[in-house]
Amino acid sequence: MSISLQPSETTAALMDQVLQWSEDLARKYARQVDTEEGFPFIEEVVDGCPLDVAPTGFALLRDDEFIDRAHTLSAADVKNTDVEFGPNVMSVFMCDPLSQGDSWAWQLLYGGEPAVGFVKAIGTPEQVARWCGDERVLSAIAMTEDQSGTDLAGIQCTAVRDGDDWILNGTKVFISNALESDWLVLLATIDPGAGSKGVRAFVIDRADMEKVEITVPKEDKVGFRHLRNASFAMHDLRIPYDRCIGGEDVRGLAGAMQFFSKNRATCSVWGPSIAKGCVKFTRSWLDEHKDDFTTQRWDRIHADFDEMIERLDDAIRLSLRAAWLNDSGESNTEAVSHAKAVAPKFAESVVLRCLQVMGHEGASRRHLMEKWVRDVKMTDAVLGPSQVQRRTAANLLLRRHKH
Amino acid sequence: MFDLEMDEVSRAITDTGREIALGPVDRAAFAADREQSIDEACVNAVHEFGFTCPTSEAVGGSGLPSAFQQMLALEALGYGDPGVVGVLTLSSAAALVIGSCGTAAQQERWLSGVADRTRAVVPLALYESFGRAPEDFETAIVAEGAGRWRVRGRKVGVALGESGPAHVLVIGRDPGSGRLRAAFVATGDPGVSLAHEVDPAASQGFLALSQARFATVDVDVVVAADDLLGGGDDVADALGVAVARTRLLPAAISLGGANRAREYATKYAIEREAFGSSIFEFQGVSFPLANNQIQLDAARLSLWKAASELDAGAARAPASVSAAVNECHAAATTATRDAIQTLGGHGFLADHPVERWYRCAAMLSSLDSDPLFTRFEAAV
Repeated sequence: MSISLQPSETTAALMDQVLQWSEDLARKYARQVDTEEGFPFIEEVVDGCPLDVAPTGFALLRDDEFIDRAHTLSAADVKNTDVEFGPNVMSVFMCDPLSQGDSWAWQLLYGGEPAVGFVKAIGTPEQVARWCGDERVLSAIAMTEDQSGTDLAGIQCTAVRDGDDWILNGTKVFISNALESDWLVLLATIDPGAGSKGVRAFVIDRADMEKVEITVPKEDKVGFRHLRNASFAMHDLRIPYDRCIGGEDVRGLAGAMQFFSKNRATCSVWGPSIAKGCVKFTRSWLDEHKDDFTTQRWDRIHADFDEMIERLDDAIRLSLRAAWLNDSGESNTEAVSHAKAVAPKFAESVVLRCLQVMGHEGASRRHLMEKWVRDVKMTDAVLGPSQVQRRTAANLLLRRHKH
Repeated sequence: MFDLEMDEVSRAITDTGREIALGPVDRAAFAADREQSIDEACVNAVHEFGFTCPTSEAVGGSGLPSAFQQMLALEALGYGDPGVVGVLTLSSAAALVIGSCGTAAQQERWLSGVADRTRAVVPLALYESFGRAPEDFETAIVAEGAGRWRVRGRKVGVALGESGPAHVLVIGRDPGSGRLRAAFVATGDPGVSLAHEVDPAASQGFLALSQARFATVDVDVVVAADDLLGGGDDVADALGVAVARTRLLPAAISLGGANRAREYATKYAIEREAFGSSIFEFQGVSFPLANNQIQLDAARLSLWKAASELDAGAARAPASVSAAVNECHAAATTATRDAIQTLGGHGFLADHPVERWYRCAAMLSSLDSDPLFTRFEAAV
């Protein structure tokens, strides 16, 4: 028996269907959601997807649930063949085609909203039952503060116990879907000055959000404009005691780290997926303009395309390795930091190159290329930017060689 | 003799350019990006500086600067905002070409009133995309007989500016000899189709620089001898030099914008604290910024080399021009991308100008990019 770096036949078939969906339906509405800067629940898009679950939701499912949510797979397919049932590997495989048409739509699917996974990771059974039902909800995670982005130990929002309640104060910034969500997970410290040890996670529902001060209703940003990012301030916001996820003794950062660990490999593929779609689109555009290029330029561009796909597949394989380690119950901290360190940067350089190949036309709104140039830049920041991943990788290297 | 010592005039150009950049250009940039128009005070300050639309004394201007000085000026201005300065430069680019190669009568006809801004200069139809440099242009300008010339081809990225122009100046080649030619064509001629590439009223029609009102121009017309720039092929070499210099202008502007982005990101990194110290202390943050500076410095030297060769009386466009253009755009797109990265989540927001500078660098690079000069390299 040898190793395999390929998806099973069944998985590959499902990937093809997902790719078709992304190119047809996700792309169909891409300009609309970019221009209107909203995240509409478009039934045609959701109903048309061969998957009823987002890659970030795979880890939330039992095996039989996955079959239910992969409409085109029958139980017999799964029984007789070889669907990758490591949810993390499966999610990376599926994330590859999901954004090739355009990157906005998969977040509409079950589990595309991040907070459910967070509660499932560290919540009490009662909390999981209450907040993580089957119905589709829109949820959000409010971690970032003005002074604290990647370094969550620097969180300054406070939560103070007051009888049967918590009283929250402080400001959260750039929170995706903060004002549209049914509920949010919010990180605050119960012990200012204690760093990460003091951080806890809380559930804030829509009624609570009506009591906060909206400081910025919609941030004006370069890409991923379908996601509205808002900033808000809490002034003595009172929430019930049982909203502390996992209970008062469970550190919120542990939940955040579990959430990151489960999803970072998947999110590493987001940029490469956009970039692969971009290469495919550019190739197709080039085919219509073949006569406009000299042979020398044509050959160089196509050699570049081969190189681009190689590098993007490198990134995806690094992500798959990290996911596979996670599915195997092994630590993937180092592997996933490697994947996330390189994947978005590979993707950015590919998309920019494709824009330049298309020239002036690529920069106009007649095509989605200019949107992808804006969107792809966002993928680096999701779940920890590449600089921080390199720092993690370097620290692990040091630790290993020091001992 | 190798000598990088700036004379007094060159230093003054850089200083004044920086003042305008950090004054009216910087103040106008945010609104210009959104509102599709550029504040009049900014337009006046930039044009009065004399490097975006230079004209000779004979037509009321202050003279044509050297290529080197023009690069200094435009890099300095681009430091304020590459989008605003890019629009003002691209929509005036024909002035330099006409001033360098036009007959006295043509200069009088097309450039009088431009210096005092009582009339706009005719738009320049230069770029063709597909990686083409001027020596590859497929737009043909050939003798039709009886002193008439046929102009046929397609030009993209023609910056129409605010006004609906009655003419455009089209750059083409003689397909046989390869000589560059340029001709004024009337936009009202049935053989000229001038299509806005997007609805000019639509907001943010392009990745950036939408205020330029870009158009695609399809031409198949016959023009009179008077409309052939310079009146004949005697100016072919001069035209090659003028066009080469014109191609360097967006590169210089992009360089200025990218350096501003790099400095902005560096300042942010020094002030921003995470994990117990200034993030600049982390080499993962500071080394890319240092690399950006190295690449931008190298690109500037490449730009200066090309410009100084033009000033030294190159008989035709030196090969270094395409190399400089592509090197500047590559360094600028990398530096602006890294600037966003340095700012983290803040970098994506319009609260900070780096996202705008990233879009501008990408946009400018799309105008004039040749895959033969830069190989794709995956950023790491």
